[in-house]
Amino acid sequence: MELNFSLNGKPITLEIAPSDILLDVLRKAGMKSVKRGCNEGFCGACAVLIDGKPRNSCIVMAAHCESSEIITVEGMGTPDHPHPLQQAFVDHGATQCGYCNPGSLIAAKALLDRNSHPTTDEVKLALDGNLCRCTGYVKRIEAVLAAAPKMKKHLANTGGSK
Amino acid sequence: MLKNLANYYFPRSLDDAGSILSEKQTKNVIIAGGTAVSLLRDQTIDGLVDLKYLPLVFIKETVAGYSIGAMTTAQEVFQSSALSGPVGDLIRKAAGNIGSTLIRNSVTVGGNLVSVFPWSDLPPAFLALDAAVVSRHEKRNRTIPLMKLYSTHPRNILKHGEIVTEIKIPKASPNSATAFTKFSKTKNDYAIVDVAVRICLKNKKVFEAAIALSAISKLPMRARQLIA
Repeated sequence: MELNFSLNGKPITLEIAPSDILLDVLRKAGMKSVKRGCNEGFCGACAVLIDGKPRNSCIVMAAHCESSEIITVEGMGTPDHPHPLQQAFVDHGATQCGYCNPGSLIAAKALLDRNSHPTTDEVKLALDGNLCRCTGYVKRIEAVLAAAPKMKKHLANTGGSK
Repeated sequence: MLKNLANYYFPRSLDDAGSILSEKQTKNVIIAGGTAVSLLRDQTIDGLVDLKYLPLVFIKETVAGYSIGAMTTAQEVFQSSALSGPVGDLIRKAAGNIGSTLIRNSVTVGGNLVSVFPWSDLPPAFLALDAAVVSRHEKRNRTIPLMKLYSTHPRNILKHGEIVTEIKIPKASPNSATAFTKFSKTKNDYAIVDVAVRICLKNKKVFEAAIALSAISKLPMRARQLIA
C-alpha cells in the first residue's frame, strides 16, 4: 500500500506493507537518527514527532501516519546550523554514547514548541519517557533549560519554522 | 508482527467502521493508539480498522458531568484544563500515571478501558466515579456501566463489531473528595496496585465511599466491603 505523509516538512510517498512499523519505515527512508532501543515502547530512543506530539515510533503502525506530519532529528538542524537544543546538548555535555539523544531532543523540542519558559519539573515530565543509561539526567535537564530562551531568536532566524 | 495483515482501513463513519469489523469472512480488529496492536504476534488478523478520522477526540463538560471521546489520548486527558474539581482531578491523575509522555501520546481512553492492559490505570478511576461507556453497534447506541463492563472481560460484554465511542462520568455529590495512588517499581512501570477513592460527606459523616482497585486481580474491581 501507499503511504503519503510529510517528513521533515517535505511531502513523501512510500510503498509499505500494512503491517510495517513506523520505526522501520523511517530508518529505511534514511532517517538513521531514529534509534531502535527496547523496541517495545519503553525507552524513548525511537521518539519522533507525529503531528507535533512525541511518540515512540516502535509502537506506531506506519499506515496510521497517513497524511500526518512527522519530524525526526534530521529535520531539526544541521552540523552548521544546529537547533538551539542540539547546541545546548553539546555545550552542557548532555551526551556520552549519544544513543538516547535523538529521542531526548525530540521530546525536548515538543516541550519547547509549546512552552518557551519551562520549569525544571516541566522538563523532567516532558523527558520522562527517554531513558539514558550513561550520561544521566541532570545535564540534559540543564541543556533544555538553557536552550529555552534561545528558541525565540531561532524561530525568527528560521522564518518561524520550528 | 501481524504477518498476514492485508488491509488497513480508515473508515469515515462509525457505521462504516462497524460494518468492516462485522465482516464474517475476514478478521478485522480496531486499532486506536496502537500500543498493543503494534506489538501483537498474530497471523489470524486480516485487517486493522483505524479510528483516527472519526470525531472521537473530545473532553466535554455537560450538565450531567464529563464526557470523554474514546480516541482522546491519555496525555490530552492528563493536560486538560476542562477537567477540574474532585472528579476531574481523579481522572487527570489516573491518566498522568500511565507510562511516560511518549506512551501517553499514543494511549487512548477507549483502548485503555476496553483492552484492560497492564498499563490500564484509567479503569479504577472511572470505576470509583460510577462512569459508563457509550458504544455503537448495528447503528444503535447503548450505555454500559463500568461495573457491568468489568463484571467479566469487556470482550465478553461487547458484541462482535461493537465500538466504544465515549465515556460518561457523572458529577460527584457536593462535599466529595477523591484520591488516586499507583504503586509501581518505577514511575513508568506497570502498576503493582492502583487505588482510586471517592468519598462523600454528609453531616460530617461518610455518606458514600467508593474504592476501586486494579492490577491485583484479572479485572479492575470495586471493593465491596470496607472495614471501618
